[in-house]
Amino acid sequence: MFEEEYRNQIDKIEPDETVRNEIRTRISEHGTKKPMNLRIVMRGAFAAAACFALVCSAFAVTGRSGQFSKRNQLRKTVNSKDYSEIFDTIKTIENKQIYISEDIATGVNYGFSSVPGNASITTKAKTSLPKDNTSASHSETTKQVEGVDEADIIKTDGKCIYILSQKDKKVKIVRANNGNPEQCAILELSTDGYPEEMYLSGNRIVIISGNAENNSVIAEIYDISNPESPIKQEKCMQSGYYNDSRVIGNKLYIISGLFIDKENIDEGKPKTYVPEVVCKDYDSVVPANSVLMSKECLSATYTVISGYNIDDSTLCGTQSLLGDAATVYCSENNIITAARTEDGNTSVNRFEISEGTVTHKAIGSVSGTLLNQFSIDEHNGNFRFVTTGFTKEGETEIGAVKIIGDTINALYVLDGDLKQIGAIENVAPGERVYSVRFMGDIGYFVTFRQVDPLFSVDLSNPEKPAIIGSLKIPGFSNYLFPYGEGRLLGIGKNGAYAKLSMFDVSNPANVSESDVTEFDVDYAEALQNHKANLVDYNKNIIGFAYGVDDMVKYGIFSYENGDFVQKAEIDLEYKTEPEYLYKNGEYSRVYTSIVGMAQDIRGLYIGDVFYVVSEKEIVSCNMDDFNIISEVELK
Amino acid sequence: MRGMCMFTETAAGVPVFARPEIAFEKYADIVYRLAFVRTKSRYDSDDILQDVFMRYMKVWTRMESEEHVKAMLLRITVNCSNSLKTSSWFKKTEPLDESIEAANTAEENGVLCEVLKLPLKYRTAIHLYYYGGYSVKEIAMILETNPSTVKTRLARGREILKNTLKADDL
Repeated sequence: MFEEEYRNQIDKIEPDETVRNEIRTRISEHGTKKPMNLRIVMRGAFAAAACFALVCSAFAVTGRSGQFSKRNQLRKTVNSKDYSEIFDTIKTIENKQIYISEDIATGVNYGFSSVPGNASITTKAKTSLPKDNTSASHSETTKQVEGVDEADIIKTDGKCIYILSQKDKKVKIVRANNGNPEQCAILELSTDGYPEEMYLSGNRIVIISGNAENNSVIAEIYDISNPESPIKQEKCMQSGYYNDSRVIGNKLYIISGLFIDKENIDEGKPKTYVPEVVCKDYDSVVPANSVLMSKECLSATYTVISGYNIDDSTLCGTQSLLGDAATVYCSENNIITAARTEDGNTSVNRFEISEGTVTHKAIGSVSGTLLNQFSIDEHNGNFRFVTTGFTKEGETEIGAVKIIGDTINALYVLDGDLKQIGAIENVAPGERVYSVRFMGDIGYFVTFRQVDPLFSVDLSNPEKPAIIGSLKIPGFSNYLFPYGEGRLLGIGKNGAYAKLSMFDVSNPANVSESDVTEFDVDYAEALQNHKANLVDYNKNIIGFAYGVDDMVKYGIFSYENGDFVQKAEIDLEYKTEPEYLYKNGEYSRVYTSIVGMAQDIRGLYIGDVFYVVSEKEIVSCNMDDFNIISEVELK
Repeated sequence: MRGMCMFTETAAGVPVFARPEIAFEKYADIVYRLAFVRTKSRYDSDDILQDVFMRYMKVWTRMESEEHVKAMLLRITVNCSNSLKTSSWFKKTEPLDESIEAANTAEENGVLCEVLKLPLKYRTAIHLYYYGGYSVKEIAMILETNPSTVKTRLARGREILKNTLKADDL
């Protein structure tokens, strides 16, 4: 296993935090972060009055939460009273990420709800279905939590297929027509930014873009009741770069990160150091009391979380925290943000969400670092985290190289206040977590170095989680998906091969691999992006695109009578398009990549027709025999 | 005159993913590791890491895709460590004939050590192939050479590693 061993050893070579911070400072000093340049309607005395009103209205909330903070012995995390307090705090921040120590886990109940009458809007949305509703049963973007939609570049509502072309800043709208797709509209986006992902919600399409020019995230909203002629709605914007987003019902949550350039802030201009939100009913910096600060967990980067109503482009709630966020988990009631700290641990924040409102509830930390959003899970009001950390043991030197210590894995159970109530530590020393999946009382995770143990954890008593099984097999899984009762599907790698494993987990204490199939793959986005997988147990279908030997293919599998069956392998005839490494400079060389071509391809089904979709073409085939019905090039 | 930086003329719609501070958080490690494999020194790798991102700041607005950013950073890393190679310190530490010392300590020091013993050109190719996950074609692009040269370097590198590591799975 040369490859894995080599990766493992070279992975331990990384720059020191001091070096990182020095470069971070140099990058920020170069002025890539220009001050916000959003449209501001409120100015001067009028602005002051408006802000004052907001502060006042929020005092009602403050009064209620006073008790809450007292009970939790609030020490360090506080809401700011006014902008000058935020200003003073930012001034004190050193240009480095600061570790959140465990003893500052506190709960603060703030936030504000600026839009009255949310409930009525919600009901309206639920009843207003599209008129020409001929949509059939269809697949959805692979997501972590049922009921919490995740953004992607290709979406369907069972009637049309929507394809976001990031480069061209377009959404191509195609009527599926039962296997004979017909392009019915091209939606030219008005954004100045780079379109990242999109959502479908009711009769709305939401396209999220990041604009580096003025450092903001924009959600463009269109009414697609009539897909032939989308109608532009008011857009929503907030400061910072795009981190992640979710949609629950008709509420959109955007999580952005806003770096504040300390050298260019001006106390008299809050917009130079306070996040802004712009939408139909709000256009200003966020109220001071929605900004959370902690004396010890500061970095000059805000995490900004806002909830919007997609149907009328209004703001439901917003909360900003002076501190970094990297990984985002979202259930129906909570958003968890997590960020790696300087010493290799993870700081965690919990925000409660409800009908678009966002309220910071707790701050905490866990040892080690997280793999991805699947490393976090909520169950019965508790939060579970699987981490990989490094130990002092095994720290060695090869020549001038300091090799950091052995890896060590752990599982933590935290309560709603993000206080640790249970843990399993020192799991699989020397290995690293490759995939995690929680399914109620049972959690599964895969670590890897030589062989891949699939651990099963019993979490039925959150205070005493216990490893009840471990299955060792070659290779590892990048993602684990529940696949019907008592089965878990692993998608991953074994050497140079892609690997599908079906695990029988009907007895979590005695997991077995019922079947495995491996095939030659050079690159597959599905191994790095769960949304690139199509996994549907009800239709018994597993699919993803991959590149092999300069060919791009879409593979479709099913699991029948204990065996994987390859149903189809669809060749996609993509011409290699020349790409320039650096256009007008010294390295102007053509760069073609199978990686680039095998990306951004999704499989989906509508009724009994399967579609392989990219921004270039749609191939449709019958789901009974997978014979191709049509191949349509898109404009 | 910090305000008068080169970004003032940036066209609208610069992709967020290419922003230097985001690219840094994402790719600092892979840049650092390639630099380390090439220089075998943490101190030089620190310098190269900084150099790479300073150079990247001049080109980031032209990036077209995530893969483009990554390939560009690796390309710059190779260039930066090439210029370091001409410095006297590097000449002293890197055997000029790039021959391999007898390796008897493979079991003790592991595969990284063996890879680091390979000549610069071989270990760069091996690193990009096994760690970067790049194809022969892509490595050729990053190293600005032709694919058959990369194939030769990979083959020679593998041959040596097979002997020293007694491994057959390369």
